[in-house]
Amino acid sequence: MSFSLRLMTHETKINKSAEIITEESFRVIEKLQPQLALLMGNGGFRALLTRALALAKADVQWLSMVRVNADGTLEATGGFGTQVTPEQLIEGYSVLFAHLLGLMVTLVGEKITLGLLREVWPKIKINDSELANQSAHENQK
Amino acid sequence: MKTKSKPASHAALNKGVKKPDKVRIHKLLTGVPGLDEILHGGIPEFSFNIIGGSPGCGKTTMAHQFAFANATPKKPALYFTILGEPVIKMLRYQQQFEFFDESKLGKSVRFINLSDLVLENNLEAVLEEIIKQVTLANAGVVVVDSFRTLARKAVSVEGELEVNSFIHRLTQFMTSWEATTFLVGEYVEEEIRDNPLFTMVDGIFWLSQVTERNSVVRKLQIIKMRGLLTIPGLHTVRISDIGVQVFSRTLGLVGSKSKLVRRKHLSIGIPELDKMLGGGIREGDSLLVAGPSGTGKSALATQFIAEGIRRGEPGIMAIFEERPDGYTQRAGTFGLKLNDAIKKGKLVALYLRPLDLSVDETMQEILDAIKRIGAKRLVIDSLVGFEMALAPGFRAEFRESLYRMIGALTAVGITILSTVEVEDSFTSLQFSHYAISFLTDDIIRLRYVEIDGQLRKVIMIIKMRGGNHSKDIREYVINDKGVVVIHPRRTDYEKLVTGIPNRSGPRVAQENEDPPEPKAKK
Repeated sequence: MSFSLRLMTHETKINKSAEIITEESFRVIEKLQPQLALLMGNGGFRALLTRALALAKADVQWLSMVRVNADGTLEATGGFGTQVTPEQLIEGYSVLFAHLLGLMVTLVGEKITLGLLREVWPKIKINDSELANQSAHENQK
Repeated sequence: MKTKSKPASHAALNKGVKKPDKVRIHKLLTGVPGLDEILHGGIPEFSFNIIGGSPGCGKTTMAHQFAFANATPKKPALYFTILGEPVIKMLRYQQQFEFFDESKLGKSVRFINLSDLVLENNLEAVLEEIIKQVTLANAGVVVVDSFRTLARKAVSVEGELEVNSFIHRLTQFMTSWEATTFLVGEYVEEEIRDNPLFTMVDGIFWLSQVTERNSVVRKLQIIKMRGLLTIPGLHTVRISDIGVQVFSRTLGLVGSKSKLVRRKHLSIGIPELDKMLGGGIREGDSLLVAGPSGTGKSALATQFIAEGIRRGEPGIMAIFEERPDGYTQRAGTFGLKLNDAIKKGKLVALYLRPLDLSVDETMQEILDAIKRIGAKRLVIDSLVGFEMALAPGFRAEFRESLYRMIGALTAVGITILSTVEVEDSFTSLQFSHYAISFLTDDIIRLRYVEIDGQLRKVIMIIKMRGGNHSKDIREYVINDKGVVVIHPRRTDYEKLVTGIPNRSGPRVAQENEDPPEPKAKK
């Protein structure tokens, strides 16, 4: 299981409605926001997330219904209805999250990205190779 | 009954009363190689400084070096960024430098982006946020980059007085908080006079860069540093893998004390030449060997170094025109095994030919090598090559820097032999094109002369400061021993120094007219 999916599963529970899963998934990404906004400002965070979303849309079609707001938060436009299962939701958001991490690794490197993640999720074990594998996987895409 | 005590004398009153100590200003290491030396130990703790200059001079890198060198988890460094280089780019590029320690990020070095706050709020809010973050983190080092952007925006919206008030309150808070602060900004030199910020700060680090022909020359000047004497002037700066590096214009040689009590004569390794020099070159002298191409300047220099090694005096050869391999190979033909000395750490052959060096950097390399092996003898072969190896912008400073280095090194007892190529003129006797003879205590001149239909070589001692030397013009050859002085002085020719002498005495019978100079064995 990729790191992003592991984190997404940790933060959300599948046995919930699509709206709740979406909300909780957004929260995973938004948890990073203060940390990243402190570094790069809200504008910088929004730019990074927009790019990650654009990349993720190529992999997950239903993500085209998601947009980045001016304040850097995510919003699902319209309901997903029954078209997207809870599993697909979690997987899709994990792809978005993976792209966000991939961008961070590309721009500032693994060490700094890992440091940031450990600050946000101090209790979750993240090893160096896990992030490297994740990044390599995303780059192949 | 109470007894009236005698009035104490003034001296007695003062006796035993401890005079209050002056405040001790501790210094922080800057993390910028060479800069602590210019600051006589480091930057004053709790000082409020500005790092200014034009783009691309290394201001941000220097600020990072300060931050990383002094940040600890208990007293972290806060790096506030304002509408300048985005932090993500800053992190991307700065991590390429060796000083950038990723493990310090987050705990010891923290980046805080104030761009949004600056755009949306007034200076009061910015100051409040800085104070909040500094207090929260218990910061020991604070960087604001770029401060100029903040000030410009604020001046246009809130007015100059508000900005000055902001700076004043920021200075006051930072000093009271015992934080050492650096404001980074792209300023132009004219602003130093008019901008009150420069009056308020304790220290001004001014970086500049000048492009000359194809080379870029970067310089640092400490325009001001309260509470500290600094080495004045412009110091060369290089940005490399290690970050910003500064080369003090005094090359760290200020205050070098002479170690020489009695100066002995050092053998050059050419017995007849030693005799001409009254026993050899005096220890701590700077000797210039001048002559045209092919007269054996490098051979003589090699013999000087090899003789030193034979006598237990380590040496440095700073070579600018030839590769060290060629040098040691030629020395081998004279029976001098320089490679062995290099392996044993008794000799360092520095090959310096990068064409973009500053004179101070080059000299720093030489000085580092001297310190490393405890060298007693130094060869610079040649001064012309040395000058050519420098970036064009540094050539103007060549003589001045050389003067400083030679003066300082000879003062501590290092004996220097420099070579310089001069063209043989047949009307005058030049020592060099560079008017550098004032740098030297002694001058040996090699030159070609036409004698009996042959182009031969003569050697003469032109100058020997404070010592008596032979006035003879002697013929020499280069054979498998190197430079060998032959024959006593010639009395059968006059005007030998012109290179085209006149026979003034009877022709000496010669068995054959073979050249007296067998080619050195290959």
